[in-house]
Amino acid sequence: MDILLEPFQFSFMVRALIVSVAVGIVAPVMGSYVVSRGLALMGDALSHAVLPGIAVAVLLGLSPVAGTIPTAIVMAILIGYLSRRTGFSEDTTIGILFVGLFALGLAVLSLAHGLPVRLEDILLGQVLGVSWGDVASTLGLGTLALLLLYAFHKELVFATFDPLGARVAGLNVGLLDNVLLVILALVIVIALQAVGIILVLAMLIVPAATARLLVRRFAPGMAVGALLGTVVAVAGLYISFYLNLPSGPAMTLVAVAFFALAVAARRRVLSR
Amino acid sequence: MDMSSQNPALPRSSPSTGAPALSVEDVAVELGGRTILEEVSFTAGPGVLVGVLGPNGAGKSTLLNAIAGLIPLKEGRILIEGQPGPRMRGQVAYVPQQERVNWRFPATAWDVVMMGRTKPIGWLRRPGGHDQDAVRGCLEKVGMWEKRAFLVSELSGGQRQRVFVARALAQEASILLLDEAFSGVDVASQEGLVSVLKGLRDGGRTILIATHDVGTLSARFDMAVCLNRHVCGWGTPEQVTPRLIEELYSAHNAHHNSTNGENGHPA
Repeated sequence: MDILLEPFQFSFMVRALIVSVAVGIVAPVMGSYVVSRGLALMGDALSHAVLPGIAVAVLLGLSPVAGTIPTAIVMAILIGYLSRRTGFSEDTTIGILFVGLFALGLAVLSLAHGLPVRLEDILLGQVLGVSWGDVASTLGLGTLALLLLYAFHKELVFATFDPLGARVAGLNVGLLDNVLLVILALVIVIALQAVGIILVLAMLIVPAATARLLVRRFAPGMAVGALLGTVVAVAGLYISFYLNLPSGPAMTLVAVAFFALAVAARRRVLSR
Repeated sequence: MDMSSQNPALPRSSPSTGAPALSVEDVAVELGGRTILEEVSFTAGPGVLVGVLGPNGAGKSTLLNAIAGLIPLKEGRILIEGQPGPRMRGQVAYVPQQERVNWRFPATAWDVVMMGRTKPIGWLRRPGGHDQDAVRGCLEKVGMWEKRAFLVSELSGGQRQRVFVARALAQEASILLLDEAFSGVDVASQEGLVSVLKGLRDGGRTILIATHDVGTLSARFDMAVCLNRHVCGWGTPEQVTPRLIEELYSAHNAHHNSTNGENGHPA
């Protein structure tokens, strides 16, 4: 029992726990759409592309969150615009914006000296270092993301399963796609703190994909994903504390271990 | 086939507006600079099952997409119960080709039919008892109530089509568009699907089915449009069949110069 409670005599661990659990719940709920829509590359790209936003925010003395949200939304809009403008497939434009913005962020961070953040923490996640301000913004943005997903649930489901049928039925599918990208951006921004840029994808797709193997239906899959995500986040946090690992790799390894167990336990193969 | 009770060759008027259920007037469609359809005109009253037939690349899918409002018209207009198409969104239900649906999404038959209730329920509201009843009724009407808990990806081609037809019913649409409804559906299930559709036709709905399968044409449709960029024939299946065979034959001889238009993405 002491091993479980001991870390939380430190207030930085309490803050880390709150942020981790929030990410563990919100990311897999969003991740259910990422998995079923095939948005993994988009998620990975968005998380990398916000680096210049973080860099600028930190240079201005603001919270990283203040820089990431606008950058993520601009990136999401640019992808659609460039794909229409150039005729390249979406994964090509995503890839170009991904590397371009990520490189810009790396350049800014390398050129600026004496910053109060370490690049390694941004890339790998250092949930043990979050402030009470970060906790507040995580809870606020996480709640907003969940509310939006709840409010537009039936429309997003229809547009995900059958976009053409949904358009004919009178839904604005283009708008819904953009709403989903904005929610994705919000989720990425809060997940960044826990697992870092490189491993955001881990919280976004691994628990959601694991849940998909265990549960047949979509909405229950979201709930199971959130449960798995919470376990992953908390377990990762303990590992991070006791083994002195960055939180990103710790949580990711736990998530992937659960996925491997689910694959092994599963009798029925995914039909499609 | 008994056509005396409701002869669809006579454009019938819908009781509410006095206009035909569907009126396609001099429609031309261009996609990526290529003319896919030109001077397409026909009228269908309520309670008619229409086959849209023609060789590959004839523009069958494009015509359905145009009626559905998925692609803009270059010329002409499409009226639904006398109103321009875009204003009648929701009156039209669309069953896409199987490959256009995201089968990775884990939706049960029940879920798919409930999707049809999305628009009637409205933004920011949850399905109520009335919607549950509607979904049940629609699933029963197509004989899929027993399969409601199955994922649609686990159902056979014919069963999937029935579920999509039930979704169109749940949407309360008066016009149903089915793109290549019979592909991937075995012959026995095709008959079952057709009898479901005939039941809906008798309930007053206008149904358009695009298909390249002309085998048992006359038993299936009340009316047929032979399409090959333009309308090469419009009438009862018996009237259209000779013309259709001619078009299919000449299209075959032309070595399918261009077949892209058929599945052109409407977005």
